[in-house]
Amino acid sequence: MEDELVVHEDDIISSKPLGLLESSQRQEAFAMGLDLDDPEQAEAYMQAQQAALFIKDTIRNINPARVAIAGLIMLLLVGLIASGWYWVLPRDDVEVETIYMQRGGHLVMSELYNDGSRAITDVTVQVEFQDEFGNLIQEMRIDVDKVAAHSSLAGDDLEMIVLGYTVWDEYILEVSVTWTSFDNRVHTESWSHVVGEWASERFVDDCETTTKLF
Amino acid sequence: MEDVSNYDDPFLGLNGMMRLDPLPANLEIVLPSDVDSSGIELPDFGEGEGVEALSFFLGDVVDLGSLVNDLVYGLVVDIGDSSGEQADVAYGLDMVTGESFDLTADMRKGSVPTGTPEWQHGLDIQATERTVLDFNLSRLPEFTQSSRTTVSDILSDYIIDESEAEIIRQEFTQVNLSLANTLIQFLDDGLLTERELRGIDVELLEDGGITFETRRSWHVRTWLPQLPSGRIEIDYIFTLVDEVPTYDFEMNLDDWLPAQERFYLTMDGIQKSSVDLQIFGLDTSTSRDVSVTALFSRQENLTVPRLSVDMSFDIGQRLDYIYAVFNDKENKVRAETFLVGVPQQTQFSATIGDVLLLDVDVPQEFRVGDTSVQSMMIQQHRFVDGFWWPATTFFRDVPSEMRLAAEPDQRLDIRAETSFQGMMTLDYASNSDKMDMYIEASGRAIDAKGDTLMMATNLPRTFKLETTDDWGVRIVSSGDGVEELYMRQTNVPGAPGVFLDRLEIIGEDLKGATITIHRPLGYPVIIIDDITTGRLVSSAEVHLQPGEYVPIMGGLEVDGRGVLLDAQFTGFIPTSTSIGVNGVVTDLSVVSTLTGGSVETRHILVVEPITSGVASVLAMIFG
Repeated sequence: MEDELVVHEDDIISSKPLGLLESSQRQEAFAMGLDLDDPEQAEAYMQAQQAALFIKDTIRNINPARVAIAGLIMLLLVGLIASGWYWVLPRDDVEVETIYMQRGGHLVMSELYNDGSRAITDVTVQVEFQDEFGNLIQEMRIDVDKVAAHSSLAGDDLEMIVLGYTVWDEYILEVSVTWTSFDNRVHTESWSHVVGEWASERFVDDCETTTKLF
Repeated sequence: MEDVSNYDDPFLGLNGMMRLDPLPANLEIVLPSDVDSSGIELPDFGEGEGVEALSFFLGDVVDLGSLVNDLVYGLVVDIGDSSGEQADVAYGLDMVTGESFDLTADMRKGSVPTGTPEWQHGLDIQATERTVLDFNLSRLPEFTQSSRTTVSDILSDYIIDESEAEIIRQEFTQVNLSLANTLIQFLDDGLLTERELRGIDVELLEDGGITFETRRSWHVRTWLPQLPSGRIEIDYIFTLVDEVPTYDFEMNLDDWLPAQERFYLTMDGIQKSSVDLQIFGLDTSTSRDVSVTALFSRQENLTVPRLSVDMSFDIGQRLDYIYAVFNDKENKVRAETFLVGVPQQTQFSATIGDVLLLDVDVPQEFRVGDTSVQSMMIQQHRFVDGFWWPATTFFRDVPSEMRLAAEPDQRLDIRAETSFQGMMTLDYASNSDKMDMYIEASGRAIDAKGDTLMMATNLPRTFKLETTDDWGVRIVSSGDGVEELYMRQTNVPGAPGVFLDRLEIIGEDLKGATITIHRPLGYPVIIIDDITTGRLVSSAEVHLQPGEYVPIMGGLEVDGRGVLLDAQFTGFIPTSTSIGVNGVVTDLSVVSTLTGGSVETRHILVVEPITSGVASVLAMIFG
């Protein structure tokens, strides 16, 4: 075996082409729009061949284990950034979901989501059911000292059935929320929704988000 | 009886004729009075002596005499008036006679025009109620004589019509009584009702110099021949129970032999409502004891007012028909019922309105088989947007023992599946599996979006439609289940952009099922469990309005097509699969059909989104 002449095909390219190989190279160069008789173009062809060799060498060094490890590191990196944004970075993200259904009257349920990374305090959620002229018919309200991060607020105080008002008229749902964010700023937001045309509707009201990098 | 006095007050004065032949040996009448009993002081000699004490005693006797006089006067000239305020009141009649007698009366109170009552076997009372305005002139210094004359002329009939409204509005404005302008529009029929007064600050009006009270004039005609010898007791008590007006009626007759086969009771004009009761098939050849107790209440603070009846009666025989109409002219609701084949003795309670609660109990000896009433119709009309909208229910072969409760579920939780929250639940239990039911209701009649039609034959002894702990819905029935069922719902604006034009379901031998909805990644998957028997055909038509979500699409309407996949499992083994566009035809349990209903089947239903979208687009292009 030691006496056996072993020639790798890649080495053939770097040696002077002979016969059929030379003719094959010329055809390949021609397909690339290069003429090997022109020294400049022959140089360009050789550089292309060497670049291809470099890539092939590099690929030969990549194996599945390396790819998996790199993927995992990438995933951890992305996860770290995402969880940092989700849990660590001071962030204020409040939304109120309200469901309206006509079930033997007007059924209204609301839930406040604190998707931010910090607790919010002095929270008030109020939903007013008004006639089309804005006169208050019935309201539901909840006041709590604190809503922890990544939690929500719902329950009996945010559920009401309005009886005695026909489902064939239009009404206004006035949703308002007040809270103090992690930076001690007091926020108040409100939204109006016209209901009554459809037997059921769902509203998701997003509050303005605050994120502090430093 | 004739009162020839001249009254300034047109609601006073009792005139007419009453004939009792022969006169009962003992007669006791209980009537409400304006006279305050706490003001009665019995005469005494006080602490004085001699002539001084005697003079005080005589003075007290005179006071007592005038008080008794006031009492008699109040009853005779102002009997049956309305106080204008809802307060407890009682009327009663207690007679003992030695022989049968006839009662004929034609009585009128006041001179305000009323409807003319008919002569009929029974009673007809026609009443007119008016709100009388009173001006406190000490608080109205600018209310001059000329203005007073103008206003007085307009209010002479207690009605402010369109041509008079502007004139009286100007007069009120001139005397700084603009706050009373709100009354003008409500007096177009001459009566301010409790509902109309809700938006009016009565105390502010009183401070401004206007007070008002409701008065009543009436005309009654009654012909009650052959009233029984012995005791006759009739009591009527009005009470406010938790602000809900409640009317308690009780009647006991001993040994009554009806003179006519039909009996009529008509009342019109009292609290803007009318009642018409007709009883057919009284046996004129047999005497009987009669006892009726009935408690009526009407809760009006709901969109569809609740009318409750709690009744127990023994008429001494089975009746051919009972027909009753109740017309609430204020809330524009008309309820009508017709019963065919009424048992002699029944305990019955019902609440009709936004909920339906029905309890019937007929003693064993008065049943015909397992049934009580042969057939029953209840219809309620509501006047909405210029039209009368009906809700009609027919029952056939009503069981002699029955409990029916249809009311909304009260459990709510926004964090759970909301599809079935607040839905109408049904709890029905009876001693018969023969009852047929027909319900047809337009949405405006029951204040719901969509019109409903439901027919069921041979309802089982028990049938429950209830919500489950995991926020699904369960249908449970006894025996072989519902033999045949047809349901149709139309014109339901379900959710923004989704309009259910029609949903129809036909089923047979439907015994039970538990339906839950799961939403993996937000997409609804319907799971139906606990099915043992039955066949079902359903179809639906839906149109979509994508402009609700994509405004650029404007008012475009798309005929929706839903491709429904129904995978059927028995245990974990798939047993059948169905695919349908806008509907499905399925044997609910293929395996159970073969095994005689001994195994339970699960259905998993999914509306396939891609093919549904393609089918909808094709439907839009090709129609």
